[in-house]
Amino acid sequence: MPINPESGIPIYLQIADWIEDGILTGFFEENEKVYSQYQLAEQYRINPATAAKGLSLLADQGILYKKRGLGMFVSPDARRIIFTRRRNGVLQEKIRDAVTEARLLGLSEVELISMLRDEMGGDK
Amino acid sequence: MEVDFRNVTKKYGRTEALRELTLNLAGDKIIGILGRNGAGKSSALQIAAGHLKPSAGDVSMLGENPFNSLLVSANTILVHEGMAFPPALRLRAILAELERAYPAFDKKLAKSLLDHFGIPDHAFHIQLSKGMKNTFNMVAGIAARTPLTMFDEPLNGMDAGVRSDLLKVLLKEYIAHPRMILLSGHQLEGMEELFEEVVILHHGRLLHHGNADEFKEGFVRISGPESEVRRAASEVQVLELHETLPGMAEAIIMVRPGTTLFMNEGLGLKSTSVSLGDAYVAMTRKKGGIDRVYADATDGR
Repeated sequence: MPINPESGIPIYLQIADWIEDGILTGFFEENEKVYSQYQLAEQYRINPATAAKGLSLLADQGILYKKRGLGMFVSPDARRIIFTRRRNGVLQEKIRDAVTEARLLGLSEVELISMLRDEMGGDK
Repeated sequence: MEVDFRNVTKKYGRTEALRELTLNLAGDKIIGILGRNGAGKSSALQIAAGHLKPSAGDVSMLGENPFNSLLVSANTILVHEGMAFPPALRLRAILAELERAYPAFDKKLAKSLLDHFGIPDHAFHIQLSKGMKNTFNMVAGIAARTPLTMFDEPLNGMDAGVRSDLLKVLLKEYIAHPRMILLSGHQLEGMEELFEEVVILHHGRLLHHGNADEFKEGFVRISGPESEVRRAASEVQVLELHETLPGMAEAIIMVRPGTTLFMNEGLGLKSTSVSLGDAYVAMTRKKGGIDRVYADATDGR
């Protein structure tokens, strides 16, 4: 994955996303060591502090855990945490988009909900 | 390593290059010293290296005033375009001298790098082209492994490939042998992702000093239909707003870190991040920018 400084996403989030992708695809398995801040820094030519920020973001969410002196490891819960958060995030965003669009078109709340209900019903 | 400037002023005749600069740099970090031409970057670095004496104020490093300090000069290297090496010495003799001056100098590394960049070590420094001179100087600065290593506009005149290789080596060296590295520039040319902190100088004064990632996150570029951009921009601090196409505009705005900008994407507005270079340029731009100057000079036509 190339780091894109112009993408609108801070570099440390791109690093975190990349590791998450690696966990979801099984490239990093549970209880396995992920790259160190220095390996990430060299690989993407970024400051090690920026790479460390990405790693600690994942550690804060319980996706990675630290073994003293050994580095960061994938926690057994990692896949579930990432899956849950991403699903909620993406869905939330789409709902927000739908609301924005509905307002723009002057649809009422009732009309939007009824459209949602139709969609849900249509899936059955 | 710690470098401390207290109310430092530097005057050249009537021109003030630094005006009461107070700045504390600490830790083995890569720090970007940014500013436009004439902002005072080179003066600040030369004062830190002990090459220049401040007109007023105090500088301290390793517990000493750098000016005429042997302790500071053994622990510091300032790489810049005007580096003067004895004209009678070939490059390999210069490397031998650097090895004597700097206890941690890695001659093997320097030689391998020069070899890689195709700079023959039997050449004289003055024979080198501008880009090669800067390459040699930067190699010398990297190999010196001094606790304070400073590069003033290091990448000028270099080929893109050489630039990218040197930055890669610089990062590897920093990881293997941590030290404080100051990199100055007005064009960042790929350096920006290396910075942990940034210092922005403007007209000899300190405009900003802080974490590089946080600084960058403080700016957003919004673009879209001009009326919508203007409306969105009316509630925030705008550094720059200009028309991109008829009816379309783009603005660089400052946001407080941690706040999310509410934008109605349904109105066709897009927000993107701003590069470090664009951010500091927008921050140090005169009101109205070049468009205003040109418009005023030509009576608004």
